[in-house]
Amino acid sequence: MNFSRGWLTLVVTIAVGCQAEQSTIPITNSQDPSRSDQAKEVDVSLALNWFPEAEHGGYYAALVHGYFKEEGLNVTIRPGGPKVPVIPDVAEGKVDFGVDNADKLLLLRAQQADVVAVMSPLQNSPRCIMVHKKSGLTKLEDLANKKPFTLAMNSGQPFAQYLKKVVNLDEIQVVNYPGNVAQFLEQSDYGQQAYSFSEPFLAEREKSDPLCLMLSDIGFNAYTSILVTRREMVEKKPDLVARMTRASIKGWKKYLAEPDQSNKYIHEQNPEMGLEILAFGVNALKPLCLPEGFEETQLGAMTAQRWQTLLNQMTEIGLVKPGTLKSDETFALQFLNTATSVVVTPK
Amino acid sequence: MTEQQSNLIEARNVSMSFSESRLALSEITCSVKTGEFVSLLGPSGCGKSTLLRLFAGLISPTAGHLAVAGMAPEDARRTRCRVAFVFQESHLLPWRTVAENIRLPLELRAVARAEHEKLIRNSLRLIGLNEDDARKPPSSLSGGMRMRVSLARALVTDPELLLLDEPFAALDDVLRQQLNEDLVQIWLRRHWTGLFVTHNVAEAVFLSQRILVMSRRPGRIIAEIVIPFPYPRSPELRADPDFARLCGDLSRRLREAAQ
Amino acid sequence: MILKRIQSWLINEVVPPVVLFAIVVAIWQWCVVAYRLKPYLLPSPLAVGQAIYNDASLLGRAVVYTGSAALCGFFASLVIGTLIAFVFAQSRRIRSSGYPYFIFLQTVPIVAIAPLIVRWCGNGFQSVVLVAFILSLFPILANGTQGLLEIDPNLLDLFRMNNASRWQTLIKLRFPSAVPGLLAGARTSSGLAVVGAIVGEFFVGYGSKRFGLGYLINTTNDQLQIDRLFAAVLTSTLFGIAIFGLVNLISVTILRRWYDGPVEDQK
Repeated sequence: MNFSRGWLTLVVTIAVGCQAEQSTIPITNSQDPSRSDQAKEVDVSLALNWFPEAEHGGYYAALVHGYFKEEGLNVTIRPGGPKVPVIPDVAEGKVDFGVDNADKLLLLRAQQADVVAVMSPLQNSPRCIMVHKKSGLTKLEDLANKKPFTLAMNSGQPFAQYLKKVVNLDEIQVVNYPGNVAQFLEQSDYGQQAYSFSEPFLAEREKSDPLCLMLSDIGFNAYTSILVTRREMVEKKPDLVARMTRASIKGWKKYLAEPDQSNKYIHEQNPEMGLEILAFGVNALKPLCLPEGFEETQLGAMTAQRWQTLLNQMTEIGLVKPGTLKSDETFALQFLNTATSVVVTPK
Repeated sequence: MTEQQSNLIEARNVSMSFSESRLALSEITCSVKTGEFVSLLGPSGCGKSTLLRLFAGLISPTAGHLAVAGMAPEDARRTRCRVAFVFQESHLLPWRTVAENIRLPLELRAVARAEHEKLIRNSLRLIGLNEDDARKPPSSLSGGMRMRVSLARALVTDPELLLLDEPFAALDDVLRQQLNEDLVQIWLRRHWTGLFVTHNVAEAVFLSQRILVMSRRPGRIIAEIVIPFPYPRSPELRADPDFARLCGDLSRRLREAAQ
Repeated sequence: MILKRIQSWLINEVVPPVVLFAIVVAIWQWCVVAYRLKPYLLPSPLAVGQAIYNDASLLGRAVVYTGSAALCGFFASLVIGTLIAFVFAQSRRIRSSGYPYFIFLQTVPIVAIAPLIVRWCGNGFQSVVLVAFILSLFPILANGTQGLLEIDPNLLDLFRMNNASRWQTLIKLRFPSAVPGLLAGARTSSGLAVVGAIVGEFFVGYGSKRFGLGYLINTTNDQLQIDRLFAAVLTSTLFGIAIFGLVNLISVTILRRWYDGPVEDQK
């Protein structure tokens, strides 16, 4: 009948039209008005491993302050979330660059994902176990003797496996990480996995007494928020990787010095992240990015030895089969030198 | 009490309607004496099953007077009179064997357990089933056998009033005639009061002492025919010319009633 | 006779799905090789088989924990579901006041309920059983109620004619009538109880040394050991199928009283 055929045509047209309209709206630098000289600009995508947070601050700073643009890069930042496959997507070429952690990178390299790390803004990992000050615990090893005690962490994670290996947790009750601080606030003989720039703030805000026992103190110190890309990029487009690395390092230096504009932008991208906690985060990140004895010019540096240590540890806890990986294949340090000359002077 | 048989069932101007527009029965007046075997004969949909259910106390009339053993049918069924109903389909409980199906009324009426075996065996024998059949599940029996079990179940409590709603309608002719003959035999032995609903003329004539003919909906009693043949009634009766003539008469009446 | 029946069951029920499985595995292996798929994307069947072999005792223990929780949850839903169905069958008012809550329980996503359960009941076996119970309750409740209510009115009349009490009708007519429905509900519930136990384990731990299939699925995923992940998922699936098959077998045996001859004829 004519009537139904007309409807069908209409529906099909709308459907096709919608497909044509549909495209993710890129988060580009809205602050730069001069878009005339865009001929040599390259489109680049950067995938984050979580919702926009302080740990991504430097990358957002590079976007917000135009450092990417200066290098001729039109960067689109793709926010992440739980279980978002950053490194697999980088390996597949779905995104050009990614932000993730070193232990994840090693796990995926063991599965033949050929992705390498080019820069690490944090020297020390923020991964910690958050306990109450009044619990009397001063270091992670103390957990072996604390009874009764409940420790909430995702036991499958590499850091948790390492902790179990180094500290005897048989006497305490290990439960699943609940994803929030509610239980921590209620129970005093309770500890949970945390990032030093995040959960402690939430606990303090609720008038609690959080204390961070850092995993790096017992030797597990995976590079965090590292910039990764696939090996193909490193070999075939080293100039692009260099520009990206340079701009990111500049962004991180800026973020640590003057985070306000970037934090405002992050808050817009992730309204759940309050400005207060972002400000707290920056302060907590500073000692991690630039620890004692670490020059600002070295920001982003990585060493082969750290990577080898991590690989040894992961092999020891059985997450990587011995002999499957060579640590020096996991990183590419050549792009760091080009960035050392850049110094950001605070206003 | 007079020496004349009293009426077990009495109906005066009984009407039944299920909704505003659906009048099923209109001004039914009739009676059945104790020990009588009466058939209700009428075209499909004339309300004869409804009338039977009224006598069973399963539904209540919308108008008129209805009595079983002098009281409301449901009360009579509970207190005065043992009433059994045989349905159009055997409706045996599939999770019980034949014997357990026959046992059901005894359980429900709290008959002493010690009595059960004897009563069930009697019932089986009465209806022509043997001990082996008793252990089978209903699904393994033929339609005719299942109807026999249904009858045995109805008879196990030794009812005083037996109401039958076209029980043999789904069976083939040969089986139907056989069961008719068996039913008459049982009635002659036990002498319950029987009210038999059917639309089959030959069946009504063979079985009953009296036939109440009903019109189509809304049902009225349009004729009452006394069947003159003596009991016991043998299969040869069906070949009797008088039998055929009576059947022809009734058929004609039915046809007129269906106009 | 029994031998013949087993033979026919094998040929009709077992061989076809096994053959299909073999074909799927072959296609899978071919895809991995032909498209040169990396392990982090899709491990080959051989890698998964190797993982199963390596993890065999681990998977076996996990099946015991998850299976126990699933079976406890399932039995709880069987008993409690039947009891509630009895209550629901009593009056329409009870049904209309109670039903919406159970439908709500069915539609609220378990990922929202499970953390609450952990908060209220703590970690441990009991919480996993509770999750399995919540997930598997509804089919038994719904089918049971329906079975208790949907009785042939002639049968009800039969009971009335024999002056049966409400209780007699409930026990001797309604309940046996409801059994096929309850068993149908039980078949669905058994599978849901397994899913519930596994999902429950995502949120609830048993304690440091004991872990079920849900835990294994979660941790192998976290550790990006996809071949072991597949092994755990495959084991979970096979376990679920086994439970379903077992409940099906029991259900068919019970229902044999309702049916004549071999069950195949009834399909």
